[in-house]
Amino acid sequence: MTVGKKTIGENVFDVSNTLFLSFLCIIMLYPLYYVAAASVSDGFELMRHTGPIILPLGLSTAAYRMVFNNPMIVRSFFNSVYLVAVGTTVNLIMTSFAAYVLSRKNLYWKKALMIMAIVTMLFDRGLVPFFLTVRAIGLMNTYWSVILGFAISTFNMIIMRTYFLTIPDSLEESAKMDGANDFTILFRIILPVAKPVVATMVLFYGVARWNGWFFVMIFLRDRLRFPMSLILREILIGNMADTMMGGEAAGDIGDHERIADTIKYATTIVATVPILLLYPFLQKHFVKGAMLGSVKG
Amino acid sequence: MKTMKIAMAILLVLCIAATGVFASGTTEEAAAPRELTVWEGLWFNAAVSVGALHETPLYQEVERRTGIKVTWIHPAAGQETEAFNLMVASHDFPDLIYHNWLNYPGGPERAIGDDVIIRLNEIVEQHMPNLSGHLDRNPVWAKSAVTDEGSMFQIPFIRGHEDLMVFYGPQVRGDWLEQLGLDVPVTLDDWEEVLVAFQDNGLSEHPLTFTSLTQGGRGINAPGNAFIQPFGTTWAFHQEDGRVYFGPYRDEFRDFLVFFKDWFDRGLVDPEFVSQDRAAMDAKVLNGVVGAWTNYTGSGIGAYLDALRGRPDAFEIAPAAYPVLNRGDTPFMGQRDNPLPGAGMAMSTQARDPQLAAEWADFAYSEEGHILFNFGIEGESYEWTTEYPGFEGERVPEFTDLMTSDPDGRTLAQMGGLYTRSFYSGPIIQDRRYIWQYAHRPTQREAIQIWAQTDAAQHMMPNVSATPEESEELGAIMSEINTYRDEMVIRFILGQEPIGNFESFQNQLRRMGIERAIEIQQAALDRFNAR
Amino acid sequence: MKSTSSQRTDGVALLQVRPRMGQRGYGAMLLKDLLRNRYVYLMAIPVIVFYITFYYVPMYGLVISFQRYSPGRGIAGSPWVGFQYFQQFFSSFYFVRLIRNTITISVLNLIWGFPAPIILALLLNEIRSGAFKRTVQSLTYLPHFISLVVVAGLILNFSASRGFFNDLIAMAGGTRIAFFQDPRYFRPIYIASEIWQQAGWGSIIYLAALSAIDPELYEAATIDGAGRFRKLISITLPSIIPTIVVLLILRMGQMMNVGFEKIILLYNPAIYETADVIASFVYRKGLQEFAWSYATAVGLFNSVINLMLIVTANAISRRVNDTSLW
Repeated sequence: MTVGKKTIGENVFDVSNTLFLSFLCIIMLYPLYYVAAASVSDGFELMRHTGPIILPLGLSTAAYRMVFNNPMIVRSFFNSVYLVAVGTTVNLIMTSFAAYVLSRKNLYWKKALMIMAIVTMLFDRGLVPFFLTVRAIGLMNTYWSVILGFAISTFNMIIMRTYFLTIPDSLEESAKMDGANDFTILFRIILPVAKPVVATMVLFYGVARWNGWFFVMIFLRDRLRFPMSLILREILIGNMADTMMGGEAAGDIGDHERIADTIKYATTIVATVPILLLYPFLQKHFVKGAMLGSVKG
Repeated sequence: MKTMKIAMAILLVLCIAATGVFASGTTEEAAAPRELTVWEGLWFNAAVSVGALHETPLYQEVERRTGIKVTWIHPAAGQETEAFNLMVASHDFPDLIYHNWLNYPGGPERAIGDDVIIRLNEIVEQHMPNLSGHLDRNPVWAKSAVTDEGSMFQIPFIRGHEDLMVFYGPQVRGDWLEQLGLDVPVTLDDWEEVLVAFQDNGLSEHPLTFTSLTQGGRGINAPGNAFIQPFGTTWAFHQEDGRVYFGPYRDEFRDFLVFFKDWFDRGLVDPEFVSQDRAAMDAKVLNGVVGAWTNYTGSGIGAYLDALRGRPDAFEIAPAAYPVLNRGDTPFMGQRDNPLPGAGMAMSTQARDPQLAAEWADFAYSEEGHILFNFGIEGESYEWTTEYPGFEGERVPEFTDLMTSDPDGRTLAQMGGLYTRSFYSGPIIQDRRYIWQYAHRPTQREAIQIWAQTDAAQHMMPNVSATPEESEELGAIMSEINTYRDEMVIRFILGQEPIGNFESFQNQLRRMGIERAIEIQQAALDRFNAR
Repeated sequence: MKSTSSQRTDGVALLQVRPRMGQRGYGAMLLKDLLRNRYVYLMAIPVIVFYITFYYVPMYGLVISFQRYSPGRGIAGSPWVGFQYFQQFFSSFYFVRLIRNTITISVLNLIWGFPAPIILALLLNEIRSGAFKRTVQSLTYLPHFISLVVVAGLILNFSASRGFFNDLIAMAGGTRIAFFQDPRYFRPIYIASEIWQQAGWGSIIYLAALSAIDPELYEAATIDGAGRFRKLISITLPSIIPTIVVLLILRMGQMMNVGFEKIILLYNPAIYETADVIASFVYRKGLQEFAWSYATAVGLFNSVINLMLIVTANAISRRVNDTSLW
């Protein structure tokens, strides 16, 4: 951006904008800070505490020792990594195919295909029939059930398509003149230009894969293959098992010792921090004008 | 538009083609000798240390002793209901399924009719001598173990003693009572005196608290549930002399509302009972903000006393009896679980070797299996003693240091999840010597004794089952009624609804079909009594 | 891959004249299209197979809303009951309130929640220090990652009578408010926490769109003497309008869906009056009776409303600013 002479109004705006965003950061950071501080707090102190936590209440690593002693934590970490790596790759390929097809301007069935996709956002696929379908294809108890069953998020696909539509036609026309086919155009021209949206997709899909638990639970029977999200959820929901989350329906009323909150929070940290590290790697692609640079170069 | 039509036509063709492809069957597993598979939700206190039950020392020992290899299939904790329904929908079962079969839509008899599980009467009789022996000796158990039609549908979890059925009740700050020279309250008048004294002496602004209806379960710890029963009614269905009532529909409920609203208006009841969760209530109790509450023996009293141990502000908890109107009365109702709470191991229609499954399951009901499943492995998780404090002279399998002070910081319950099934539930008879040790503090033992002194056994509903047709109707009626009751009771107490409207509340319950619901429950109870 | 340049030029030529039906045979046009776009269709095949296999085949499950479905009997074996479950829902004592609460929460969330990520993205766009910008970006999306179970616990904790918010009120000399016992406060708390959780995450899409703007446009505007506000209005905003519109239309298709989990983690009977929505009602019903058919019927009802809204929104958008989903 060119450095011009700033007016007073602009200065005031810059300062207040910076202040406002800094304030926002504190509010946004707080929940994670709370969880982190609670996870290293003394369990009994935490139990009697009310209100916000400024500093950890006492200092104890007991919760983390418990968490890392849980054999499922390490196992599920690698399960999650696999699920995210393979799942997101499939997502990217399938979604860019769909977005590319639907961003063509001279395609006969484009409208029908688009409607086909949008309808899936509105009408729920029945849980039981979805389950039976996955089982019939033979994907039960494999990661492919969720990887393929969620290969495209229509929402993400539409975002990608919207971005593709803003790419100037001139770009691909020259390639077409050179005789490139659509696969070459997509992978060699469109995707490199669309880095910001690709980065967004990696983030959206990656995070969804990492956090997703419901369908993994539905399709995986082998507990040893559970991803971290599911293990985390078990621990978070555990204390409510006899009350709200359906435990009562399963007839499980009783005096169950509750899992200490410190363990809840420590597991949250262990299960959340790895995926948080994804963002800094993607951030450099959100630079203004990334696309235009490529047009010229 | 034409484009659309053609697209749709092609879609349709593809759909049909796709369905055709999926029609091929699933792979059959080869039947292997002396091996079983079991579906069961993994208890969260076990889930923090193992991936599956067959990894626990308990079941490794069971495998050694029975020579039968068992593999567990666990749905995620907290999501058992969805996973169970999908398993039923897919009609693809392991040999055994541990579940609360009373909650199968339409009841256990419907589960048999749907070809999900099989009748076990003959199998239990012929191949489960230990279990059938117990049922022969205990007619009460036998009655609850079958459906109205007499089908035995599961190998049941049995609470082997009264002490195991009572685990929830009112608790008071014992040190405050002592400080003010008051006795543990018995009648509602006593309670009022105590609460007012706590308030007047500046000990607590709002001395009595509960967890919210939506946070703390709907049944046993409904707000003021312990304070409803002195008026001869309850929060939900109950029976009196063989007749079924819906508590809030009775005129007596109005008396409770008048009385409780008075307490609320005078600030004796913590206004946050409407919305607070367990954690919020725990913090209030431990910070000495409140003087009385209702909670569990283990995760309440036990957890509190643990948290207070060694602290300068530690205090005493006095368990109080369920309140009565007049001294000498027996409480109309209190918390009491059924001896057969409903969960059990059923055998699926796809069990490859029912006889083998029966043999394996029956081991838990033998003398040797009973001790193993309740206390774990001798020399490892327990040692026999005749000097267990409080029960001197009795042979008690006492938990070892491994259980009570795990070097990794796991709690007794978490260790219990590794070595036993007595800490939660299972196809076993729960042994009361387990609760002596889990609830080992004198306060806890006292609590169980005090809370057991009620007429709950006469007044609570046993585990009845409506017919498949009626159960859907009952569900449809009650889901709306429960919402309405929850909301209106709170509104009456908070004063958002004048108690003068109690009659219109009753009328609305009638319009919503409460009479029909009572009728269905009555028929179910009659069938139960006729078993 | 070998290219066939003759057909390609042919295809480009065809582009000029939009093919019209009737001019030539439909089949011939179709064939032409298939040939010209054969690689595009090749790409479309896995996409179509995916949608049919994992969405359209399982979608027959919607028929259970017209059945008394029992998991044990399956769709083939369950008896048909027509519109019984729809009638049951429409005649429910709570029907009006559920619809009202669902729509109110949705609309409020749209009014307050939808612009929040846009404003955040625009504010971030005005920041010049790269390091500060990156830090703010990374921090604002944090709340999205914390499980709802934990978030709901924090909200309840902070709104309690001795909680943080009431401490602030008391410090400012006000009287403490019983936030979760008074139906009036539920919606503001719900919406504010939604914004807090989702604004940063939602702004990512807009940041991606903003990055597509040609810096030359700004330079040209600067030379013309345009101030920053001027540039915001005439360059920045117009270039993200398509993204905003598309997201808005998609949002319209979700109006009837208010997730049940956060609601049931937060509400209680004293505030059902404003907090109970269709999803939480169905959830309670499910606990009571495994109401598969009922839940599917309600879901179908919601979908139909959503469908109408999204079609309307799309039509308006096409007319007003020529942006359309299909």
